[in-house]
Amino acid sequence: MKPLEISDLTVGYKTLRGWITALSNVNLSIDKKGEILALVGESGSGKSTLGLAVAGLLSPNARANGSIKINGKEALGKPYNSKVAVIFQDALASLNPVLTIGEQLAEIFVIHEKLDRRKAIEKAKKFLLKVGLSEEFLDKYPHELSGGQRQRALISMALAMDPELIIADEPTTALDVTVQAKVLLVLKNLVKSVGIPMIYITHDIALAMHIADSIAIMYAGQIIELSSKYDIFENPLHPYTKALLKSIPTIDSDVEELYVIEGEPPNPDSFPKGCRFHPRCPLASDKCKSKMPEAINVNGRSVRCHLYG
Amino acid sequence: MTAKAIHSLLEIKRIRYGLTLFNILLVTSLAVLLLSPFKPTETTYDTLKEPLTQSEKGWSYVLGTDSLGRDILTRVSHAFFLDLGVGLIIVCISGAIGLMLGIIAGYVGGIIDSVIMRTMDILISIPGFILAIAIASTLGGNLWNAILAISIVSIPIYARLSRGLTLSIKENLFVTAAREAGLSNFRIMIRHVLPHVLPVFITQATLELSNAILYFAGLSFIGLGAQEPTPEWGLMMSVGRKYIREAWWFPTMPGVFMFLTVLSINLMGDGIRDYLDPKKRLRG
Amino acid sequence: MDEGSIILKTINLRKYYEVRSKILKRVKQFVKAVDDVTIEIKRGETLAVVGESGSGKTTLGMVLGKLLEPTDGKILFKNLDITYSLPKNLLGKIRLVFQDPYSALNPRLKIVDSLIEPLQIMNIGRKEAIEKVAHYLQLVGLPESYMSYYPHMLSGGQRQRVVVARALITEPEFLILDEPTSMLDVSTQSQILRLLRSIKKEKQITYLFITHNLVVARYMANRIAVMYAGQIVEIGGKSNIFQNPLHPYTRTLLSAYPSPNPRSQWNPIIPEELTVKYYENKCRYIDRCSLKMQKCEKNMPTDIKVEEDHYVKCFLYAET
Repeated sequence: MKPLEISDLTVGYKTLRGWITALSNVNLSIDKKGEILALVGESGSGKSTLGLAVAGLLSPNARANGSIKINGKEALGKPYNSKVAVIFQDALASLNPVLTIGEQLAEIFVIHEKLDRRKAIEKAKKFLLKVGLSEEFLDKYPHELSGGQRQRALISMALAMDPELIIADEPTTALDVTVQAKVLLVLKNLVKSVGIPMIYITHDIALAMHIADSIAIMYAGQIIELSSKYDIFENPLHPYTKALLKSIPTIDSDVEELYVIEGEPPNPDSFPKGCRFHPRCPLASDKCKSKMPEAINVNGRSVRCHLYG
Repeated sequence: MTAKAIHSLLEIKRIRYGLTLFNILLVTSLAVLLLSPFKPTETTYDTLKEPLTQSEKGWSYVLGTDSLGRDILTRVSHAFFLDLGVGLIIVCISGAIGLMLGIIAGYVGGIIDSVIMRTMDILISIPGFILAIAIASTLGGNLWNAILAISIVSIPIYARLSRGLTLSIKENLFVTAAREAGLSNFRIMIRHVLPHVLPVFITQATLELSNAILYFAGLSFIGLGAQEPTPEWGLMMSVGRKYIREAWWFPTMPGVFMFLTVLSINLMGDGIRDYLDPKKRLRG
Repeated sequence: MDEGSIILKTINLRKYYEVRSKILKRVKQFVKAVDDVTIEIKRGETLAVVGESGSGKTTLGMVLGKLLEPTDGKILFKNLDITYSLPKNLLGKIRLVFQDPYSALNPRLKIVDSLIEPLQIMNIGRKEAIEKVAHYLQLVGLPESYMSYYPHMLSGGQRQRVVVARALITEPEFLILDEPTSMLDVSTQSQILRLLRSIKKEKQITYLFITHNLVVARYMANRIAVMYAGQIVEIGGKSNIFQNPLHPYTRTLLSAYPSPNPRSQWNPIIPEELTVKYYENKCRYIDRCSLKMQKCEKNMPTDIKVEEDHYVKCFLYAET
């Protein structure tokens, strides 16, 4: 039984101007516990919507079709699933400002495991240590913590729920780089050692390469390429993936001229016909303009491009 | 405002109702003003006639007559324009001063801000109507002094509002960018701050218009505003209340007219506020 | 005006903010956002100022861009003292590009009106100004027709192009870019970065490029200045900084960026997460430093020249 299996997921939002498709025909799965799947894409690519859909946190004006199975159980259409823990970018908004970290963490054990208060506090202490926060943080309020500490407190709470799946939506985007490194490594090591599958949503492909096992590249509401991170880096198939890798400056070498993907990502209310990347694709043919490519299997990898069809 | 904005404004029910009511009052008053054979200040021997009593001039006294035999409908209609006009004058004076003070206080900050806003605090710490009475009675009871008194009392509302708005607009990068481009503070206030303050300000002004009318009628009621024989709602009610037993229509009709006017203005003001509040607009 | 002459120079530049604790108003505490910064920027180069939030890099940009008055020190532009006022003939020669393209443009003004603003104060007629607007829109890769658009009709990348055009329109010689791409998407970022490089080449402008992102700095800059707690702790040519980082803070920063190659090792140095303290008589980095010595407790390090075009504020490299 796979920890997560999403098939043919389509999500639309109702807005004042009509329906907008945020996600179309998404298929993906996490095959074993402790596996980390990164969703990489630019804003408007649908990566956050996908995370929300899996967590059952889609807004009321959204409509989803397809299937999301978590450990074999259908999760789509059900209300918020407490077995899916979500870590958002804004930790301060996710924490209750008038309760101490200890109280918030202990509360989880009181509710979920029916522990008494003393034992719950003991356990909270242990969970804080796991993310590298000492005992003294039990009595601190969220505003007394630095950004990275807050984010780590949030991670400990996510783990405390004993989740079947963790979704980390840009968990470190608001943090400084040195702090970001720490938070991500804490998160990765915990997820790996406890054996919880995780979806890591990010716009930073370099980070995804070091945190995740497999990577799904998203563009305009679709997964356009999905495979192991080594395949993605060493032999990217989709023209967008190739361009993306060439268009980021790197830390370990001097780049004379950056590759530039011309144009802008399309708006969800006006996706182009045919392949959604074709207006920006240097290899686009007539077929790409008229026919939307299906996700096809190339040597065990999934890619949405006519070049391989 | 573009035609599209006006159209979507009209989609809000309150605005539609308010506007309809206001137009009925306006058209009625205008018609009476132009067509009525009675003069608002001309006394006759037909004192305290019941509504719909036939007069010698061919028209009936639709709303009856007062203690001096004047047609109440004519007087009430004249008062509609007087009170509305006075309200508008008050709103314009106090609004312009308050807007200016608020923007300067919010934008410049520092000592100037403190001086302006502490003055406003002093004004606002005294109940508005009582302060208006104090000012009007010091200056002497007449129409213009009443306008002045109410204007002074209303300034702090606008000053506070526009100062708050200015402070939040100042946070926008485009204000910093304008400074960076070398624009003078005056230009920045006019070009970058004022246009963003105005929509909310106008909403508030619409709501304040009904307050101004009520204050003015109130001052006239206690003798500090319009003086006899001026047709004014508050004054008419004040004189009429002595006759409430024998001629109920005398104090009641101006009251009803004032009530309907204020109601229609408030409906429109509330509607505009809803229109500007994106959360409410989405709900329809 | 030969290449390589010094266009802008700061001498002991300081900008302090007073923080008052609300209960005890007597105790004065300062945030020393810019503290004793002495830099020389050569004509035609790009100096990247790198640092984390709170390092004072944005304040430095605002002081140089004349949006804030310095507490102390001097700014020399082409050997003229411009610390407190800019001479008329230098109006528009130093400009700033802001980080957030979504709020840097007044939503109620058409693009043309936003762009014309900096010209109006220079007494340039409307007709000539509009011609300039058209020219500079083209230069940043936008069609002329965008003049009559409102900002909300443009994407983030397009807005940032407008913001760049707005800065270029007064023909500046020195351009301060404050995180110009940090709010943009990856593919848009590469477009803007490349545009900025080509404009620089064409117009011979000197850039001060403020960023938290070393990767972007590496692409854009010739020289790098690393800021920590209001001070420049290391400054030098790009290759010096990237191939031979000296200050423990620079090394920490560099290690935090992974290479996109998943097979490469990523072993970031992880410092303590502490609030920045503005010590006066010891090294400001001491709380986070893993290599601190006794000396660091007693004195504040000063600039040490390690090699040509490479200075560092750290006792590890002191002669004695």
